[in-house]
Amino acid sequence: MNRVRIWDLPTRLFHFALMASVAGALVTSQIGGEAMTWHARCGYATLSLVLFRIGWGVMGSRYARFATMLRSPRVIWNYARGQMGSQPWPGHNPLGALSVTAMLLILLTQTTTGLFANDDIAFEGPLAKLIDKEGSDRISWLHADVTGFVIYGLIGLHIAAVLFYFVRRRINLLTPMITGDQIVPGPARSAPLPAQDHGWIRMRALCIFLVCTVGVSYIAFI
Amino acid sequence: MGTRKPFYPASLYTMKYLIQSTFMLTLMMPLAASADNEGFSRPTDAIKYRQGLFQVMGTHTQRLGAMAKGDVPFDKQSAQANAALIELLSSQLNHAFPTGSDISPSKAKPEVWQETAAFKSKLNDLQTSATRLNTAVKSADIAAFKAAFSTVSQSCKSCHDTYRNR
Repeated sequence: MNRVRIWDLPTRLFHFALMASVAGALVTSQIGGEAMTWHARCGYATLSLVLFRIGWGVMGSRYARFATMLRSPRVIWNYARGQMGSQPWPGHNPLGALSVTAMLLILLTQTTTGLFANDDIAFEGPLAKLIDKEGSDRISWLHADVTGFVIYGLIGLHIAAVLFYFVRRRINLLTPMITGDQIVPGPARSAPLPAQDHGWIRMRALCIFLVCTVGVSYIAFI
Repeated sequence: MGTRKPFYPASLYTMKYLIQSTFMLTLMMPLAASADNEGFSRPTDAIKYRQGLFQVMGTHTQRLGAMAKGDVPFDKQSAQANAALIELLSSQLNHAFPTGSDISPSKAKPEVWQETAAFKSKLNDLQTSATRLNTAVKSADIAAFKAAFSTVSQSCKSCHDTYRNR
């Protein structure tokens, strides 16, 4: 039995912060009216976090990188058919990596369209004034009536997959996302390489996140 | 004496009834139409009219919204002008959805004309909340104004969610 660090602290904080900001955005969108001010704030937080995660996918620790998690269609297909063993996969498994990428892309789309959207009452995104009302209305339709539902679907799929692994495969995906460590059976020499999670790489994450936050704040208060 | 032959053939009787009924229907047509068209000569006029109402109401809702959010300081005079317009314009909506005006470029869903009672009750909610907003603004009580504005925007949202396509 080996404890291997898979999720560095920035990735874990990102994950639960994203969960909170997306949940906040969904709830405030349902309330509407004056809650739209908070909907926008949740959107800014989500956009900052997604941009950070994209940067972290390039400059982050081992398992957070897109280069590590994104696999060829053949590997994904074989994994999906259960031909790659039942061992816990270090990091995102080939199928899960697709889900992560889809989630990041849809949230990037959703937060970007949100910047141009309006609610036809007394609220609009900070960039809506740069385009005409008809364009903003079409973007609002996309934002609220199309991609919004795709996000509900992806969240459902995400939770269903975690439950499936827990119940059917007897693999707990939630605890490693909290503690950062995965328990890997077998001798120590066959254990997967740990993710880098030392002070300096955490500082790097903080710097990336700050750059993203400053960029989004600039757009928000344009 | 045998049975008396009618003075003119049966086909002419049919003709007479046809002409009479057509005449009567022609007389009644404007009556039937006036019950539905709410005084608009064509459906697109009604659509333009109500989209104009919504456009102007939206402008004044946004101005009040900026005050409710605190982006702009509360100004009693300007708030009163905005609230008075919202109250007046919202009261015109009852007659802005005549039958047949569910065509392009309207964004109203067909449910507006299918669930007439439910739709009218939503319009009524808006008018009640707009009246309350007007009262709150006159009192210049900021907390009451914010609460009343919130109710108005909830009325907008509730109706948009059910009866409007984007």
